[in-house]
Amino acid sequence: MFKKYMSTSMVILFLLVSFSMAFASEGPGGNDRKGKYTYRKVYKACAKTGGVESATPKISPADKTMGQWQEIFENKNFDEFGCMDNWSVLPDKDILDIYSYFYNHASDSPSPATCK
Amino acid sequence: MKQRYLPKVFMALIVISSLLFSFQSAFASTPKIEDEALGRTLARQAVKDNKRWSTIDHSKIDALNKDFKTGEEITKACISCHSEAATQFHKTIHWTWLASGDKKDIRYGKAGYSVNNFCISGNAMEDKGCLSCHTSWNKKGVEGDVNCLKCHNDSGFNFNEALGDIKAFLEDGDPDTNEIATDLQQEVKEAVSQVTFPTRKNCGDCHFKGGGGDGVKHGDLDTSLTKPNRMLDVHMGTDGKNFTCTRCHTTVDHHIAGRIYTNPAVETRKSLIEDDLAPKITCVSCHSDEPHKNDSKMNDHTNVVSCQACHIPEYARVNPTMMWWDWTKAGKMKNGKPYIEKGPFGKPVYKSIKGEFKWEKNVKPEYFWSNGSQTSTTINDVIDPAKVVKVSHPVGDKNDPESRIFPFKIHRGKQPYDKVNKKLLAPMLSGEKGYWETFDMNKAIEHGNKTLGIPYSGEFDYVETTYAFPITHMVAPKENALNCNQCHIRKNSRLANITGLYMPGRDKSSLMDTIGWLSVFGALAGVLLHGIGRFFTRNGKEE
Amino acid sequence: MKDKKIIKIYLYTRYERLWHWLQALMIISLIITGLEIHGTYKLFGFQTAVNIHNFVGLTWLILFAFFVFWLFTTGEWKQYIPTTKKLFSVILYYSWGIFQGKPHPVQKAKGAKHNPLQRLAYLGISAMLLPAQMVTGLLYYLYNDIPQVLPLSALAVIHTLIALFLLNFLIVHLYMTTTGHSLFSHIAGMITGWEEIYETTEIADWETQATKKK
Repeated sequence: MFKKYMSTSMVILFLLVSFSMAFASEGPGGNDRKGKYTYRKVYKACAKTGGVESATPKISPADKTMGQWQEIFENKNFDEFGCMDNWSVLPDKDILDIYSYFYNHASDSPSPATCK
Repeated sequence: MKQRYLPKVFMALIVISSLLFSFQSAFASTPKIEDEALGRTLARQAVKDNKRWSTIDHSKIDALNKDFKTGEEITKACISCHSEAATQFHKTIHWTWLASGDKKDIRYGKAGYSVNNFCISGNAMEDKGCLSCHTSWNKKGVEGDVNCLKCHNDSGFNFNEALGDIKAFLEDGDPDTNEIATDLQQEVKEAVSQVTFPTRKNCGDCHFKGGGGDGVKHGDLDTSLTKPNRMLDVHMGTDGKNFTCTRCHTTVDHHIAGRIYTNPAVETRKSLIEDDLAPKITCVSCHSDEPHKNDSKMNDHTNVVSCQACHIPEYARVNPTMMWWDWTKAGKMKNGKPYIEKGPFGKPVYKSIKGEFKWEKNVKPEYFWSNGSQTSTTINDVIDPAKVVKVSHPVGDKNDPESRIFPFKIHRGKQPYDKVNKKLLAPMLSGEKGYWETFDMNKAIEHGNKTLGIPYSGEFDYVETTYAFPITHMVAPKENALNCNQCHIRKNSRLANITGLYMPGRDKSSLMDTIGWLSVFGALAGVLLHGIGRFFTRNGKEE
Repeated sequence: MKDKKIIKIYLYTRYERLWHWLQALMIISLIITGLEIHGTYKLFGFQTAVNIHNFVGLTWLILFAFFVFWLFTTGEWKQYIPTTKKLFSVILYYSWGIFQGKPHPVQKAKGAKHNPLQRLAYLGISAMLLPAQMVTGLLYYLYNDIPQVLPLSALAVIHTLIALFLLNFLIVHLYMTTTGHSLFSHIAGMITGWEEIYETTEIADWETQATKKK
């Protein structure tokens, strides 16, 4: 009886842990490929209006770790990026895409990316 | 009486000194016609005409004005006019990654048995991590199509990335991304039409970054040469002649001039005056073999000392280069994860995936005899692990009329070898069975050696190795060429390890010198004693 | 000794004196630059040292030809004929007699400017050491332009060794000039041309060979 009890609780515990782990490792669910281009568009527009010197974005995903991007995007702390005019008009879905792009290509991701 | 002949003595001296001066020039080997060195005059003459003329503007060609979805489509468009280009290119080393024209001879080459002490081996092109430098689309290696744009496009546009995104966007059914895709295709079209002969950036995107980063391998080739000034390289300086690589690396049928493993770039040096079809790859071709001013002693050196030895005083003068790679230290983790540690110059000094590095800047070369060829140890060659293994080393000898003293970068490191078979090993690095995933060197070697068909005993250890790169780029302006006393000096001569020949200022006969100096000091001692004796005896006189 | 009067005789012609000091200057600059080329020290820099050494060396070669011409046309070559007469007494004087205030066994005369020891020394230098130095020097200078006669290391070793022997000679010679009846009398002689000797000195026949014609 005891053995049966133990093995069932072990299985349930195992399932719970793996289930929650799945949640823990999942990043933002946006379209990171699209997010790359949305991000570039922000700076193209910004450069046209003179908000920044060049259309090449100064900040790249490889500049920070996944954890750091998570903090920045969840707290919507976009000061570092500049061009606040262009950022403020972005719909939430676009920001999620950009977040996915940064998260999936952060410095500690399998494929860190730098803007050229 | 004395006053009368003093002016006469002066006159005599003036007459004699003027005679001496005029006699001195009689001893010069040829009369001085002009002030400029022959080498400079010839070279200036050869490159007088700077403009390259063309009969085509690729932006007007219909075949290129398409909405490309893949790289292969672009190549097809190129071949629609340049019908033989791909077949021609397939026979060259930039495609096959093998030194021999015979595809069955895989002894030398990145796709063959050659190894180095950096990433070690390309594992017959099965290590996909190396293939981003292959001239095919999408890292397909020799199975894929030629990527003409890698060399023949100067837009700097990232075609692989854009085409991959275009394909994904067109297939995902999102109208927003569809729009992005169409914009991208327009960008691709504009970039594709910028067809050129290769620029320094085209060649440099691979040849400046070999070994996994900027300036890792060669020492005289890194991104500082994309837009250098004359001080870094007189030929490539944008404020000088702004030479592209192919200006010297003469190309015929896509065969690019230069040393290929053990094959020297040329058999003998020839100036274009002697043979106008000679490849321009040697200095002699434009500068002749007596390039200095007429009566300069330097012209007496050119049959023994290479031009590079004096005219490239240091390499890696702007960006640092890697001097040491120790694979034994690879595999250490931080919190269970691989990590990178940065050091001076902002360059990594440790990477879990690779080991320990050392970087240096303004490096003094090491000098060896070279006839243009180098040894190339392969994973099929037996080594002596008790000694430092020279994986690639210059071939040459002081008695060989084609050999000269050349400067080299010697990269040192430690890499795995087979303890039983006594051969160097080729671990697989990238991919799911590679060391960078498993951090299991034994498994990586097993898998790697299998790709090349070389047996592995199962037991490995590490051996210290060296790899030599000839230093021939980063030619400094002539004012910065080496001074005589960098080599003709008793201690710390740059050529201290060149033995078997007499160099004034550096060498001496210790025996003869000792005899000579003994006689001198003997004389000094003698006259001192004699003089003291005379002093004390007052020469025997009573006064 | 105190009774003997000192008279002056005109021994060295203008050419002789000019040649002596010019050659001294050239030899000293050759030794200084030569030792720098040898790697013993750094002074002018290797390239400059080589340029000076080449210029002075070649100049000396040409001027030495003039000197040899003068030697033979004026008969002065006879001053260098070696002899063993009085050689031993001269050696004895310099090693012993000079400390006792004894007079020099050989006085200078127009026909015999050099005592027997000097004759030997100068002959050896002018007829053996200097020509060997000039030949090795010339072969060294022309090493890249003519077929090899001797390997460079041999030329360099001989040339250096002789140079050091000449330095040896220079030291001894400079000292010996102070052995006149006053410390600087011989040096003054080589500047003015007039040497001081004792009037009643006996001058043997063989010592005046060179003055016979005069």
